[in-house]
Amino acid sequence: MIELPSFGQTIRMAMRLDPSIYRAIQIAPNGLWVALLIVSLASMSEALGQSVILFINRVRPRRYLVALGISTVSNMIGYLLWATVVWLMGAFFYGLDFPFIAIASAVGLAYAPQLLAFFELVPFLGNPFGIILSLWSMLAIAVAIYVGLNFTFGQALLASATGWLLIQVWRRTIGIPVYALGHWIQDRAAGAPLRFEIKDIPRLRHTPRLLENIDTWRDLLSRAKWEEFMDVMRAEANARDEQPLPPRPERSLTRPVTTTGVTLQPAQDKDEESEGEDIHA
Amino acid sequence: MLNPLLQVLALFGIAFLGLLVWAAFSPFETLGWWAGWFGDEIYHEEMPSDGLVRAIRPNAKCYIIFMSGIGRVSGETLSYREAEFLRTLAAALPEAVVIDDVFPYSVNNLALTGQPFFARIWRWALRRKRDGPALAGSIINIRNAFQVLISADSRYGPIYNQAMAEVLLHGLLRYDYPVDSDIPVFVVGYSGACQMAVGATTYLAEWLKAPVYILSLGGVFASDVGLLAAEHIYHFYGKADWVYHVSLVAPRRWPIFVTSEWNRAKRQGKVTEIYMGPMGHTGRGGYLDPKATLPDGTRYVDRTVEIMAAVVSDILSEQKTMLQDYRPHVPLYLPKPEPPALPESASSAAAE
Repeated sequence: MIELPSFGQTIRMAMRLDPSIYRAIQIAPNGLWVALLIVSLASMSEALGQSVILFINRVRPRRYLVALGISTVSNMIGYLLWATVVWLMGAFFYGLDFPFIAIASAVGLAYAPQLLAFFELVPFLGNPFGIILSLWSMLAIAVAIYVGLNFTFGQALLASATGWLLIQVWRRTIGIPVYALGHWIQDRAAGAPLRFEIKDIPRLRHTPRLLENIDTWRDLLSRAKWEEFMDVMRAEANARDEQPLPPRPERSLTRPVTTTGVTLQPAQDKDEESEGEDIHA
Repeated sequence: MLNPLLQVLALFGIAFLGLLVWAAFSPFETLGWWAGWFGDEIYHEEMPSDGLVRAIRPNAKCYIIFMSGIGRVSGETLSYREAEFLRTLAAALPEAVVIDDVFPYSVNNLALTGQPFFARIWRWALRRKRDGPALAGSIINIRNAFQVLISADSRYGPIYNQAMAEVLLHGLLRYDYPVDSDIPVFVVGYSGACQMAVGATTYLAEWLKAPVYILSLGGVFASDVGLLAAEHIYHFYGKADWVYHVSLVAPRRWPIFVTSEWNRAKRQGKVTEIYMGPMGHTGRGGYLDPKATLPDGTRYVDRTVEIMAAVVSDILSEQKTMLQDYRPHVPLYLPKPEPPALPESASSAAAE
């Protein structure tokens, strides 16, 4: 029986993409548990690293924790999918007879780089780090397959690409209801539909009371100036004893007020707004 | 021989990791604010005017907001150099309202020493900063530097910068800025605060009718959309200042990214770089030093104020024609909308 090195050492070797550790974990008695521990920690780290999306959808604090838990679980389900796909490929395409547990351990170990996914949150430097991390994970999975299925490295790369393709196909066909269920659960957990993604951030606008008032403010200001001007004109007209100017038509100052919160302002909205302003004409 | 060295290296490694963990947690303040966890309130401390700075001037022709470097803990300046600079600037521009009580490193202008959980840590750090050891005080600078990175980040930036713009707008309104006017706003970003200034300008320019100018005093900033939203950027830099080069960590500030906002702003002629001679970034020999003098005997701070005031007055004199032509928005149902806000000329025309 092979003993695995300490947990920390195992993680370090897995991150260094050392093939020997990927081999050892398949035959070590506690291999699967070590792999599962790594997967769950990595899933948690990844969930935290991607939690920006929960914030931009304005999730409440308690819901935030629940949603984090849900995405941790969903990341772990993603792991099961990966392991299954790799195992099925070995069994059907290449006619190999490997125990599922061995493959699952190796693929689980390949999640080690994702332990650092939390650092994607680091401002400014986290973005490029995320890209490095995903490449790193791809390589780790290729190594896991290469060791797990006794492939040459080229075959392993091909197999991991095929695996990726299979997962994409699954996502778009039979997997749709499963993913829809996942989204539904996530939305329920977050307590608000997760409408906005990272790419929407530049279009999002925060509208506190301070800003809600700014239009009314402008309106009041121009109205005040108008009154001032009209008062002068009326006074002059009266002084010259002319036909008095007609009274100012009533108009309401109310305009659609956005609720305190987030409004999405696509470019065309602006045009509609300016059209709306012409209504006082 | 090698072992102690390794231990020292390991210590540095742990410190670095700790710093990274801290950095990774730093955006939670901004994100929590966006999610509405802390409410929409914008805080401010009442700071009486000294007659020059923070004075509401009835016939103000421009508003100048000063955003300080990363050493600050609140809206109050603790640097005598800064205070001297602001007083001189306000004296040199009698038609400007100089606002310096914004804290650029907080989403709601809440001073570090007023934070609900960590105030004690920051007060301790502030004492260390004043009385030494200065190294302990530098955690304030690190914390604020993380805020600068947040403002430059593509994910957190738009969120943080909106918060910052709200803080600036709030500051302007506290000093009776008429939102409906064409009175130009100058945002002075000193050092790292320049990123905050640039970021906030994107949104400030959306809300105000008036042009927003950025005056970067040895400023560090990334290529941000705010550079295009600003009317113009004046970048002051000295020979002995190396800090503003930190901007080069942002790849999109490099010339090879021709489509970056910075390079586009430069091509559009929106950027003027002003050389300040032998001046350095901060402290002795810095832009705001009242003791160091140029060869002709001018104090550094006076030269900085002189150039800055010249830039502002130049813009104001160009603006003047525009101000005279200015007509407020008049509803279209007016019977005679000819000379709307000029009752005097209207009356004289009527008299004729």
